[in-house]
Amino acid sequence: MNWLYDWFVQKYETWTYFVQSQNDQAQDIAIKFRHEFTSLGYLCAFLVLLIGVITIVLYYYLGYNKLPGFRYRLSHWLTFLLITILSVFIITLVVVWFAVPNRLGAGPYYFFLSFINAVYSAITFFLLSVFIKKLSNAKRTPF
Amino acid sequence: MNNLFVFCIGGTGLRVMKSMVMLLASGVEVPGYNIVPILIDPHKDLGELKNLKILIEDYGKVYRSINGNQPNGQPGFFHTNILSLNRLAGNEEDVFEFDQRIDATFAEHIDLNNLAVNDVSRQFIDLLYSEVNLNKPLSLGFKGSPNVGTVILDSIDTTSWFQTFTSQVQNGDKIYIISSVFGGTGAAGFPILIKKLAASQNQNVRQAVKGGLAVLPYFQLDTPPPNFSNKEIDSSTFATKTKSALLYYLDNLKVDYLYFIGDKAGIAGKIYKNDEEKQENEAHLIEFIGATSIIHFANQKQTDTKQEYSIAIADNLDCLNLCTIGQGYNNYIRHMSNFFILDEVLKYLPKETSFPHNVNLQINEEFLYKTDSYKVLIEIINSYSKWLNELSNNRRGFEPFNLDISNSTFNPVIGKKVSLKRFLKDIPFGISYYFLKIIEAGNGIPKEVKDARNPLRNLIYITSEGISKVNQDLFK
Repeated sequence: MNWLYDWFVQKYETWTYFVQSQNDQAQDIAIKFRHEFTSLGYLCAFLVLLIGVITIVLYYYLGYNKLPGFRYRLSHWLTFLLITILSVFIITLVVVWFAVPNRLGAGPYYFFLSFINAVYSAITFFLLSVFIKKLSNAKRTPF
Repeated sequence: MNNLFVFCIGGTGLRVMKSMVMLLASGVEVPGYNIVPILIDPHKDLGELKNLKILIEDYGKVYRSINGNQPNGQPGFFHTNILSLNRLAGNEEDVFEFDQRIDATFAEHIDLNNLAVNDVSRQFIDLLYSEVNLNKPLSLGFKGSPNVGTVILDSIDTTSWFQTFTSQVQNGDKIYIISSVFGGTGAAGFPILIKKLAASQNQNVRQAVKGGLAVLPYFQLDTPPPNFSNKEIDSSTFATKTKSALLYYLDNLKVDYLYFIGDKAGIAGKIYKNDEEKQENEAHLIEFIGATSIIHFANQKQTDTKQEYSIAIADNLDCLNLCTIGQGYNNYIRHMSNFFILDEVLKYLPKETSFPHNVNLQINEEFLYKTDSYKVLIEIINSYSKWLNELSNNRRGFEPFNLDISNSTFNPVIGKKVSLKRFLKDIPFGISYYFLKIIEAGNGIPKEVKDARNPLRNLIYITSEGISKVNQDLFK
């Protein structure tokens, strides 16, 4: 999971710098936090991504589009895309926050992780749409 | 497939056929028969005649676009083939009317001037025909004078087109005649035609099951101004002419099935303008009901005794709808509602760039909406819409649909409130619901129907299936 998230999360601050910038007493805590964040935290983020996007895509194509209302129109798909991005961002933030308690002012790491997860959710939503749409009433959405 | 030859005589015959075309376009079936209309009206400039010819030709174009050379039409809209006699005889061109225009006066036509004034034949003619009868040109028809029509139409069997007709009648074909009994052309033409058919050399013609629709008075005409020239038709004589005709039919009209339709109570409804040249009469409920008699007749078998039919409505109201016309009309109204909804669907469809079947069924701008066959379909739908408007405006009127529906209060069929539920929750009902069912019909389009090179066929299939599925529930 590290290769998926680390490159972006460290745009805020590298882990090396994060650890080395702590005083001697906090360095062990920083190392432990880093380990938890990059294992459990990344895992939680990935699960939120997968479950969230798959659920929303399946609902859009196989549930939402079984009802009237011209729901195959691009505007509806874009709305669902936006919902996916926002909900993955928020849920990632909340889940990881509770799974890996914040220590040593590492708040921005959570934000960066949630942000990149939201971007991935948009890409995944699009890619899944290409396959799932053929099974639904919205065969030409998004294209 | 057998043929049902329908002779439409005079203005009323044409108007009933127009209603018939509308019913067939909406998908009403005449199982086992192609319809072969033969229009007989000497009034060649009549707008109704010109428009009907265009309508029937357009119907044929759409039918052939959808079905090609297949022997049976695809179920749904335009299921039944309307074939011209000309095409039946192997020609490519459609011709529906065959009787010739006569610009001469009746006197000129019968060569009256060659008879001496004191000739007994001339005196006999003077006794039977007025000066007006003798001197008006026949190009405007027989103007409520069946005594004129009887003479003109008597030579119908010597014409080449009639020979073509008799040669095309096969075993199992049927013949139907539609005319009014209070006019000139119809009242004269009906019994003459029956007589000529009975005397035909072709056994198939003699033995064919024959039926006819006798249309009794259902409207009246206003009194034209004194100086108006085209004013010889007088609706106050309709009743007398009807009685005379019916007395004659009682013993002399040899048909297997005779249908009567009229509206004595509704006559005072809307008074038509008395202009025999234009006769711009709006579509009428009686013409629509008259068209249903053709379908009823098509389903009847050979009979040993003459069968006579008439039909009623449930409520004596100025304007009828699904709830007040009578349950016997439900099936027709259901089909008509399908075609009515098609009109609404096609207002939206070309603008739906994400419509799911734009590519797989080629229902798009490039392959369908710009084609001639699609444009012809739209022309027919526009005619249908106009016909519905006329039916609703006329009196006695027929208004089964809300002709001015909007998506916010979508309630197409008057008298039918729609309530749809899914998991106990209300589903919004509107044109988008029809779209949903049309999409589902497209998802399940059979391989033998789907044709990547024929998007019109695909369109007609999915709209027929999708719309009728919704309306079947509506009409339960």
